[in-house]
Amino acid sequence: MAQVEQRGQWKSRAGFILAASGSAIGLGNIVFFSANAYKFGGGAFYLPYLLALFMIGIPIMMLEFGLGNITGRAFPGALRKLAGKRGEFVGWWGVVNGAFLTMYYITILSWVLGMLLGSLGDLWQDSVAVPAFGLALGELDNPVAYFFSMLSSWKPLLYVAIIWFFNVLIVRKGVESIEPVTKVFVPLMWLFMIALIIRGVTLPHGDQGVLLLFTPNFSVMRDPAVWQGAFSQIFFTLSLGMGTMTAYASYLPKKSDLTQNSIITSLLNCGFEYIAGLAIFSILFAFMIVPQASTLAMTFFIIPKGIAEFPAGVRLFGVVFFTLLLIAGLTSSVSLFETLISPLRDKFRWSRMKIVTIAAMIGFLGSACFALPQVINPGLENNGTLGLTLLDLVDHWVFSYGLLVIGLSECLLIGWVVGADKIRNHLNSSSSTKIGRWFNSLIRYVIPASIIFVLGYSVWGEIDGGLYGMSYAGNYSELYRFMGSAPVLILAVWFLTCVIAAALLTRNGRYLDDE
Amino acid sequence: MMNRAVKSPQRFNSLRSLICLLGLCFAAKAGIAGTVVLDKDFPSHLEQVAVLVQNDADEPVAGAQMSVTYRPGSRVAHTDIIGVSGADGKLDWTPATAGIATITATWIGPNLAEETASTNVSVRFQKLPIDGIVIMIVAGLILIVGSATRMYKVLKSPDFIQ
Repeated sequence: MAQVEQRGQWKSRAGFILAASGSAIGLGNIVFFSANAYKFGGGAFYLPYLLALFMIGIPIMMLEFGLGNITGRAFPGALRKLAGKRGEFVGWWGVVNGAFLTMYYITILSWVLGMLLGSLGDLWQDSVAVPAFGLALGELDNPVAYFFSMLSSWKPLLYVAIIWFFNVLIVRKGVESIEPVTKVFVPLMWLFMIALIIRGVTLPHGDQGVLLLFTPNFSVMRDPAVWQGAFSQIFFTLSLGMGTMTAYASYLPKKSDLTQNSIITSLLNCGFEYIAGLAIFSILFAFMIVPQASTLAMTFFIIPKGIAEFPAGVRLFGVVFFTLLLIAGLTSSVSLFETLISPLRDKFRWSRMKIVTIAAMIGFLGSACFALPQVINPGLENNGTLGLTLLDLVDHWVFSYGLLVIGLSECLLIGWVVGADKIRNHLNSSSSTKIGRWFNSLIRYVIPASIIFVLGYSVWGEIDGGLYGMSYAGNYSELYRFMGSAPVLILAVWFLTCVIAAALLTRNGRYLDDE
Repeated sequence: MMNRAVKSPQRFNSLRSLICLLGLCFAAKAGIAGTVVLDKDFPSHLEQVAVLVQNDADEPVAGAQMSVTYRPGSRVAHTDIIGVSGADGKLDWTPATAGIATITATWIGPNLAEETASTNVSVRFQKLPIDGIVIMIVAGLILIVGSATRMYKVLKSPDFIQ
């Protein structure tokens, strides 16, 4: 009990659920779901999406909540307690992988901050030149021009520092400081989104966008890419495979209704995607804009392009949109940061402020790398700047492979080594809704098979189309030709960092309740 | 009222990232070839509209090959040939499905180079799509009503620490 008090505890169930849903709801929920729904046949996408939510999303959410709550530890410590050193290694791998993600996620948030400042004025000019890219490019339309002007300057470094400062401020006292912030931010996020929906559907022909979102084209159902898209969407949108939910649940009292908490958190997250789709599709239809299957393109180019066409209140809705993104991103980045802090505290027992300060300093340096403004691709055929190119390459491995491998390992360890019954019994001991043996089958067979399918599909794409990023080589400027080998280098750095750091962290330190 | 045409079509090159964060689309300016203009802003499904192709000098282009891609960029995208523009640069088109579509016109320019112009168009639904309404209601009931009713109970439940 003493340790629980030392680690901190959520003061209210609502506070926990808001924080967990705030963690899950991020930039991807606001724009990426809409892009996926458009890409995969509109309403037809809801069938695999809902199936994936109930077969994969909610059960893994239950598993991760259960892991944290049964052990009172963050991800690596929880897996150590249940599955031994092998488990802890997987846990630390997840945490280190998540640390990469935190770094570049904060860089993306810094760009959101830059766009928010731009939405007060310059962002809405028609077209401007981007001098850093040379004269060959001429003038670019906004918001693309504003975005690349910002990226090719040092300004994002300042924004990165500001976003890291806010993260430190919110995480410095753990759940004690996270809970009050999310209690304000998450409802605010919903209010801002509702404002965007009202604006979107009241635009001329905006209501037709809603019909477009939901009207199905069932011909896509035989396409494996649609199922892969739905499974991936659910896995990533719920922040699974990172240990975030385990870290948050470790601060819950033992007698918590984990099953209902998992269901509510998942439904809130997906409900937010549902209403975000209403706003985004109505804007896109009203202004004849084709969605793109990319969060960054949707965030920084496509939606602002729609807002720029509003008959009135362009600046106001620009500010609302980017503030919404900033809040959603902050509640997610805070949880990612806490996912790193919490297990380090569990194992090394340094003061929270010491760990937060050291981690933030290292994190700032990492985020700064993704904000490097050197123009390496002046023709903008690929990513333009050095920082964005690094971010693109790192994201590919962290998101497309890292999270899934961790999720798969987690299910295999619990399903086949520990026994899913252990988690199920714990969930049932304190929850109003009892879950049956189907949970064990999902954890042992169905979810691993689904993840292997998604991973296999990605690997096949890599084999078929070549290693991700290699095709950029021809577009780099003379000075940056060496970047042609960056994809291999980034893969090696990411993989070796995860493995070596996980091994070192597993070997060193000691948990208080192990002594 | 004429539909706003794409004066400076943007070239999008989507990186193929599996998930959420990347896969940026970058737009660099391509050469301005001309414009494609519709005589109605938001045509309805199965409603005939006239499509006009103009060159840089805003003159009608005769003999331009015109095609339409329904739901461009999606897994259900498909392209139909509309036909060839007449001497007045116009051609009639009847949208086969509702949603977003891209109309593209291609012709041989004065220097014998191929020129292209395109525009996006939002095609209205002719009537309420029942299947879409059903999916909207079912998904809304599961996701919004499901989370709202459960969250309401949570807010009514006592806190861990009073």
